[in-house]
Amino acid sequence: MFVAGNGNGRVEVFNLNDDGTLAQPTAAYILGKPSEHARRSHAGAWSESQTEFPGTLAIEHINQRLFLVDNTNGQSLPGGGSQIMVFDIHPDRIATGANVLFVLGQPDAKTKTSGLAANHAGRRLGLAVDEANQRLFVGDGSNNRILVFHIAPDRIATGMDAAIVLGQESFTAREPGLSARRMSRPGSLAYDATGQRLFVSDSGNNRVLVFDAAPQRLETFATADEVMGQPDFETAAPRTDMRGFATGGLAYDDRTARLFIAEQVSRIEHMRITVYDVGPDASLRAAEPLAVLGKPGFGAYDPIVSREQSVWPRLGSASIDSERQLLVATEGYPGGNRGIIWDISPERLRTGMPAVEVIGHLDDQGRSDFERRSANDRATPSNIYPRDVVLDPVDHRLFAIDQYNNRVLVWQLDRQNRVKDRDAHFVLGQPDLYSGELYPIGPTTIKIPLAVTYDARHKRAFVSDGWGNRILVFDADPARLRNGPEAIAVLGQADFTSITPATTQTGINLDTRVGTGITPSRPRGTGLAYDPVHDRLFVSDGGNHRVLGFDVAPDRLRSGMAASVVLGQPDFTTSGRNSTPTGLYQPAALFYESEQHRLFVADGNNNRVLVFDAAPDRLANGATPSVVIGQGDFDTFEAGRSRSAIDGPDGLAYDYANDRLLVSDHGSDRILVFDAHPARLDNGPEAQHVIGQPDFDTRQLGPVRANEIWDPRGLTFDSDHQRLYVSQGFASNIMIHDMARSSYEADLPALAVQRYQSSSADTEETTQRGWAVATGPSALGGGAAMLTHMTTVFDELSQRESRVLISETGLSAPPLADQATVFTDGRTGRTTVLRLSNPNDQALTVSLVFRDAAGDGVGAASERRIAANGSAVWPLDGLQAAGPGSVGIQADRPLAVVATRIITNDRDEEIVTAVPVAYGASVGGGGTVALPRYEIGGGTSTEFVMVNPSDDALTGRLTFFAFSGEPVTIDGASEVPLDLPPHGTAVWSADGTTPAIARGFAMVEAFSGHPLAGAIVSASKGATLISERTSVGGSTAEAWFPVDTYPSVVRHGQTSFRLTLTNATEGTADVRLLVYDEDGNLLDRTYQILPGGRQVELSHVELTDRGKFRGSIRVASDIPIAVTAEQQTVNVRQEAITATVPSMTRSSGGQTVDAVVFPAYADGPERATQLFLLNRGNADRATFSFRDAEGATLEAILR
Amino acid sequence: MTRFHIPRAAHLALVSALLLALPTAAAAQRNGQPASDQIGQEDIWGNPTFVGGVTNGGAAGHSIW
Repeated sequence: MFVAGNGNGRVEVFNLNDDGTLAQPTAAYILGKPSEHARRSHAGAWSESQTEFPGTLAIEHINQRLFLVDNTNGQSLPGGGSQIMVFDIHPDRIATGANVLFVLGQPDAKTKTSGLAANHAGRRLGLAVDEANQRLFVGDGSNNRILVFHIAPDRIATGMDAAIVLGQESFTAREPGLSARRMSRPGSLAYDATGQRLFVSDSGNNRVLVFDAAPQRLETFATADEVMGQPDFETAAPRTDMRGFATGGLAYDDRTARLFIAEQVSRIEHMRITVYDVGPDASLRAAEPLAVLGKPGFGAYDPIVSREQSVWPRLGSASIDSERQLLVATEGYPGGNRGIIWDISPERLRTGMPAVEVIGHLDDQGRSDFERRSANDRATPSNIYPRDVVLDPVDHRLFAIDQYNNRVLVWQLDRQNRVKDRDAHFVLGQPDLYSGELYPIGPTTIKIPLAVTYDARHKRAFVSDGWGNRILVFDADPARLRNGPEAIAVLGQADFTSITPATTQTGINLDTRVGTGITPSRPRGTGLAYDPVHDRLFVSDGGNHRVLGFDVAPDRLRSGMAASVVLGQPDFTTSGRNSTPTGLYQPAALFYESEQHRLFVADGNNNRVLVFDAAPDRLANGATPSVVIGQGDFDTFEAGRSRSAIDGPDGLAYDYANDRLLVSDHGSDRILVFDAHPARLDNGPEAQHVIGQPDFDTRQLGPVRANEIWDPRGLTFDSDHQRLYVSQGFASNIMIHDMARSSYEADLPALAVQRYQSSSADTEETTQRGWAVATGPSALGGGAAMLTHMTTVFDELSQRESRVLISETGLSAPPLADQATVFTDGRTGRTTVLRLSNPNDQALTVSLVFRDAAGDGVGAASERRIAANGSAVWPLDGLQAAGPGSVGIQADRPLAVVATRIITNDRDEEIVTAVPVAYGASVGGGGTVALPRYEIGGGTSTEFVMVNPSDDALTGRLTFFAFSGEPVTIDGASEVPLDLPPHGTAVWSADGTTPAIARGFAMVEAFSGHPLAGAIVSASKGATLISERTSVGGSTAEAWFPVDTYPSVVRHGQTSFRLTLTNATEGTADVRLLVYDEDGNLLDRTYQILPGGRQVELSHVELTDRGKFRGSIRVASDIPIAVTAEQQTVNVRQEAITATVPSMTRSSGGQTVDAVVFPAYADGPERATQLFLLNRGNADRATFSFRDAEGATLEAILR
Repeated sequence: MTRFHIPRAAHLALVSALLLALPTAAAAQRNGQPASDQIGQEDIWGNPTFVGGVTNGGAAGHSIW
């Protein structure tokens, strides 16, 4: 069985048992996509093995070939046409992702345009096969003709000419007509092999034509023998009641001479299958159906997906198994997304009978489920086919219309309104987050929702219910909101069970049918806006081509209440579309700008946005707008694509911070940004910027990568955080755009960690580099940065993109100092990179003195300049082959210094790790430094790095301990003596030989001096270095780590966090472990007794009791201990990438600072930077600012 | 290891100078700027991605759309 799923962009092939039942519930093969994981990903994605929007199909059994119409659709670029793809489906040869054998209907296999020739068809194609005579009939709807191809194996060829044309006198004519020879928009075809009759669904003429198709008699421009559904060949009357005839998709049952018609009508309440006797004795002109399938009777019905009822069933020439008397209909959106099989034996056929089987839905026990309707099991907390979106800025929630699943999803965002958890928390319109059914209309249900807005003051959500011709009002107070809540009021209807459209002061008409509301290629025809000052709700009443205003203050809100004002019509009882200065033609999105009291109206099919003065005392019925956007004046209405023209506006949002209006320009797949300051806004303004396209003149539909948009609908904008949320329909997601800017300001609660991650869009071609500084609260506790290096892979089988994490490098924000000593690695294949930033508004000069392991100078000292507020990244390439050593840094002003080491592995990927840096001048004395982690064996190795930063010799020893605290021997050594000359360096490496990883910790006991010590742990997979991380030795009374184990669009994989505590003293430490959420709320407090010389390790699950966690962990000990944290991400290659998570208090030493400087900031297609800032004081606001190398402001995009 | 901190007063002066030099939040968009995040699309391992798909149950995917 072959099922063309146009939403998935592929054909699913099911194996059947001998009795016609499914051999297994899943498809055995996929044609048109490379795997079962792959589905439609973007427009124009077609090739010899890939289908775009597969439609009608026909099977030719003799030679085992599938003929498939692959379409473009209205959401694609204009000019697209349809191909007829011919696949080999012989059981021995059929294969997932197979190439096409031939292409018909196009001059060659590389073309897919709409044409008019013997070898070039238009759009809206239908198919039928005459197997006995090896002919293919093609309904060429847009050309008002039928083409007949000879498809015998020895004649078929790609780009071949048709032999005969029906409906036209020649292959280059396309005249529609109403006669026995002409037709109008013919679509589906059915062939009667016994009677050699061709049935043509002549949809433009509301009839089916029947041709004598015997090969010897069929000729170009032939006259039809009979007409069905009309009294004669000159009549094309539409039906007037539901017992009447309608055309649609045809399927013919040869055994019983019955014709099945899946009626192609625009209203979903009328969609059904009718069955007609078309035997030789039947009266076709006065045809009356034998039965109706998919509906209970001959009326109009509320759309229900069930065993008996179907919404928008479709049929084609392969839909009937005549021998077994089975009919297979497919049913897409808004119905059940399934195949439904009826037993059509004449003795069983009856109106409204139940189906015998369903394809595509299983219940939780694995049985056929006739009620389930969401394709791909996509009624989940995270899947969405959005139409509108609105932000609740007070309680930090995002309400989004999931039209596909008849629900509104509510995401909880973080305090900056960023994505926190990718699963929605609540749902309106469905009982839970896993259902998307078409439930009977009521106070808890929504059918085909189209718009949403939010009243932040009274915490109410307003939802436009398309099928119900109503606006539901929900109490969305977080304290009370639960899944599937009852609405508190309804507008547009008198009660919660009526759905009648009306043109009155209380009624609305959302005109939800195919083309508006359902699979619309134009704007939605409804929209909502809330006036928070006067508590008014504005409603786009698209079917009535008007906007209504309701006074919905909580004390005045009533179900069925009357509107107080109407725009677009002179009064409340007038409807009709108008392309006039004050008229509207299917108004879509609305936005109420509450400072100047302006109402922006997206006048969808007039291709403009109107601006009304909407102050209550000035807004009157039929008011005249003050400004028009998208057109030069109030008398033009044409769609356009330019800096000032709009093609079907379908979303509006406003940036109060910059007085910008954002318009979803649906027809051009872009967002336009206009200066809408009242003093500057005039008719026909030019946009400032475009989002989703590279410039103002281009409309390209790429694979919908980060910088592209396909099918933009409703918008919402967060002015405080300069963030745009876009409902992106065809790509089925909400795109979030943080506006590029040079400073980011945000609330910073007490004891909280503020975090930003750079966007790292793989669509960018360049990498931004610079540095960042955070200022704000008087009690900043420090900060840290994580530098992430990743690549992008496109999985051909699933056709999805993943980011491959290559390395992560943790760097504590350093103290500002005018002296520093940095470990350098001049060994072959390793490069040390200095990263410095100058936070002064004067340039500074840095002196660099390079030394080898013995402390002797290498080359001449150098001096370099860093611009005021600038930064520098200096790879120390000149040290190659100089071995390990150090560089002394001296500057004439304080600066920030960090350093990394890069090793390029045999995949040519850079593995980056931090290297130890000592800040300031060294002082004398001795002590013990703990190195909290080594790993050896099992593909791991450890380098122990020790630098003497002082002018005096340093002596001591390096000793090793197992995790249990027992002294151990590593690579034959129980201890390594240290004898470092002034400014000398020592590196002691251990590989281990055991197949398993042995781990533990080390101590550097210095009898004199203070070494700079660190341990670099490397992990390899075979000969490939895959990860390195550095832990710097030292003990502290307090450490504070950011934790984030959630995947992001940049860091893909499974992330875990672990904390290691090491007591290098002889006394027992009493350690407090405090767990804070991301808002600084204390979640947990535990105590850990840590005896001297012992180590303990704790995972984030042990510390937080959560599988995924975002927040911070603070460690406080009564005596200083060594504390390190690591973050391990198993990337999509299944390789563990481990990074040291730096303590945010490391460089601040537990003190407060006024500013935190992050010397390294990089953002590009393979680089991302994550910044963490700790506030250890009271709640305050913090500002992150960005500068480039020369000190100029850097426009950063951070999430 | 000894940490070095510049005197608090000097630090304050430095930061003040720094803040004076910094601009306020600027609206500096350019055409075609990339999105920073998204909800609803995943790779087959469930990671959020811009070029994803609606997860269809993996190898057992059986629904039709």
